[in-house]
Amino acid sequence: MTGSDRRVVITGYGAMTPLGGDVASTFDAAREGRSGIDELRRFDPDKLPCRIAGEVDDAWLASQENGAARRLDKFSTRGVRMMRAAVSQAAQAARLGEVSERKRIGVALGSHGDHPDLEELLRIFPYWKPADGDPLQGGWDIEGLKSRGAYDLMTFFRRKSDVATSVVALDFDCRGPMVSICSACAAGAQAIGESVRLIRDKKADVMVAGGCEAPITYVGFLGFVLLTALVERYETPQSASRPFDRRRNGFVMSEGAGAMILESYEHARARGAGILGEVLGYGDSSDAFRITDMHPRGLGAVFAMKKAIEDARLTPDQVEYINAHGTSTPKNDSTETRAIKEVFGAHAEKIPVSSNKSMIGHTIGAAGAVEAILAVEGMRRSEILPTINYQNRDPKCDLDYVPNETRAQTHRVALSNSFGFGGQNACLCLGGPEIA
Amino acid sequence: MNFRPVPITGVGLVTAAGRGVEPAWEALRAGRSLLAADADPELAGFPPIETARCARIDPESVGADRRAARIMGHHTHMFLAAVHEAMGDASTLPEMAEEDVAFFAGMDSVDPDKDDLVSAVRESEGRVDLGHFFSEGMDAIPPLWPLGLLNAIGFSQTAIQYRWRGENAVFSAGPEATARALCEAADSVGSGKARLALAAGVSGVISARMLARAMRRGAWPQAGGLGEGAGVIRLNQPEIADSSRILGWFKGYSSVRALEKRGGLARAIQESARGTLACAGLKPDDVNLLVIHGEGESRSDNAEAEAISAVFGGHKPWGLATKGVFGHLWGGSPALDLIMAMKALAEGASPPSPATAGGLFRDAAGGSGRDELQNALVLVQGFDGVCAAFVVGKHA
Repeated sequence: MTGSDRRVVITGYGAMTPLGGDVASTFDAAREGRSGIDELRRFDPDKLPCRIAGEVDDAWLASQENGAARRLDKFSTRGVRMMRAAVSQAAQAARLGEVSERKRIGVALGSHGDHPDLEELLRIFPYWKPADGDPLQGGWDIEGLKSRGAYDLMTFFRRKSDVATSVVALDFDCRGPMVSICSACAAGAQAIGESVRLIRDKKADVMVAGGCEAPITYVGFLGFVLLTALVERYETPQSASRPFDRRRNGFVMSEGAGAMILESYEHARARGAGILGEVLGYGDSSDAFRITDMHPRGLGAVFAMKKAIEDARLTPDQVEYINAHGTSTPKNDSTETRAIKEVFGAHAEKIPVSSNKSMIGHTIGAAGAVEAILAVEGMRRSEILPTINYQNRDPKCDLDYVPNETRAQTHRVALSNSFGFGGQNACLCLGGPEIA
Repeated sequence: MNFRPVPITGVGLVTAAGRGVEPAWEALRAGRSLLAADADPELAGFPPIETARCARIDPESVGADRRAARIMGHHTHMFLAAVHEAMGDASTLPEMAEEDVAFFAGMDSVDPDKDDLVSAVRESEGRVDLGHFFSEGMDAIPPLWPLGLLNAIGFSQTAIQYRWRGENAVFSAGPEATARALCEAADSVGSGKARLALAAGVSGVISARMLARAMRRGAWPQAGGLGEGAGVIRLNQPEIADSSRILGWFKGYSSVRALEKRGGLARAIQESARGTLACAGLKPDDVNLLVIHGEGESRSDNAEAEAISAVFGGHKPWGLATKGVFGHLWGGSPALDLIMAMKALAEGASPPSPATAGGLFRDAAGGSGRDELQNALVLVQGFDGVCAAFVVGKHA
């Protein structure tokens, strides 16, 4: 068997989202059409044009942190803490601890490190010594930072994009390939796709794949306010994220983590691991258009979807559900719709398309992983999660978006789309347990 | 499993020696270190450091339009300049669809511009009053400031400029990220998913934040100086490569992670070297040139020497080390080392081998050694114990 013929199955997954502390509770809440979006609690958003977010309940996070690897806590930012919890759930489901050849277990995660918050910046700011009265010229008072205990902050508030991968590898004794991916909103899906490649190429038998993001700091939030990407007009927090609805006007920022245990079919079978689903194909592409806008015809999205279907050795008419990127921004949703039509032609009208972001919000680097997990869980349960807050038809968005209510429907092949800020796109073609 | 060799049809390099492969090669061959004491006042609070910084690059000179250039920093400029050189005369490339070009990069961390934040904090008078900060301080932050938080942006800007729409990924951070980018690019072309693939490695920009990270990593000041730069390797499907334009062959790779504290690093270097040779279908004796990681930190260097001795036994290849000349480019280092290895193969000459205890290399006393250089093994040590290796071969 050549590397490219190797099947890659899913033997465990875990998640932490604004809807729930694990996959089951997240899915259960989502199938009821509940929203995880609420008034922002992490900091005072007074005067900001957007004052809502999807925050993970601290109690869920705390309840899942065990004391076994306390030595890693000092490296674990909020995003990494959620990642460790999600991986722990996935590892338990897959019985990862029973895999004896640890060098054949790799880790690939999408993450960007945590943003500094404003308080950190302000604590460090007094140690910036301007030269000749010019605030933009000068140097850091390193001794001052050290003596006041601020030096560690200075070194550590920097974004350490590979910290999640390093900590998870140590925490779960994974000694195979390590991959850290930074492709914004496509990062989680790309991490899964890269894991598939590594397993197919026999560089690993098992991969811990996923993504995490904890962007709800003042500075991180402010960045997206400045880009005018966040929703600014909404009646209630719960109705703010409304993908494909005519009144959508921006996305809701959220936090979370999602993790999958992927392994070769043979490896999973040989050790008797339960198979939850399969990654049938992966496609990635670049818009190569503009940093802040999707390609108007969704060219990159089209390429990614076509490649994923081709990689799965399927045809478009075999796809039975699309888990959309569906951010709730005016351009994304209409462009994604256009791209779906381009790929599927007349079949597009028959495929249910829904966006988990209507309930969870946008978890950036975690989104691709969380949404792929929910897509597989939907296949297991024979249910398609809804797009909530869909009330006003947009002529540019004219597909079946599974409006507002979960649909009972057996389906075996799904696509999960992730399109990154900057133009990187990833699409996963997923199969349910029947296929595996 | 033998790897199907992939032709390298273009390279691009930016270092403290300047833009292009030739000035870097000249500096290396002459053993002329580009490292110098860094007098930047921003670094005044740190222990003294030697750096090899790249001269600022006019983005328009590498084809960036003015609008795009406004949100580019030095990091992206280095990246673009290396890509610009690697792509060379685009008219010589076979015609292919945009989605047939794959693009992978290892990018070191990008820091948001300090000046932007300092201005904003100054406007808010240092108070932790978010409302005040929003109403007064935020005006001092440019609207596209968040772009500075994403190190994928330089990558995306390059893809936009060249209209590359194929497979892609940004890995971060450090040498292992670029090692991964090289592997992915080779696999993408080798498996036929792309007809042309670019693999890039880009260093961070030297700043107080970068030094803070380096100190935490233990990569400095224990090790040598830090450098800036970027390297890009262009790979083609063998079937469409014009033989006259092939610079060399990417023959195999492997990466291994060390977790054991005692002896783990040396074992991981050995395993990655042996795995790479097996991947390429070569024996240790087939390696004529060994490009060492050689970062100047004693634990790392000792482990590397132990591993080389174990893998090569009595066989002594020529040795090559770049960090004494260019500093440690972190994410840029694997690309720089691979390009210098190819240049040595093409020239049939290696710069003076590094002097090592135990005489690991031929002619360690110095002097260029003309030899039948056919295969070079490049060793990479990343952060957190990741070790990788590549083999590049001379084009007949």
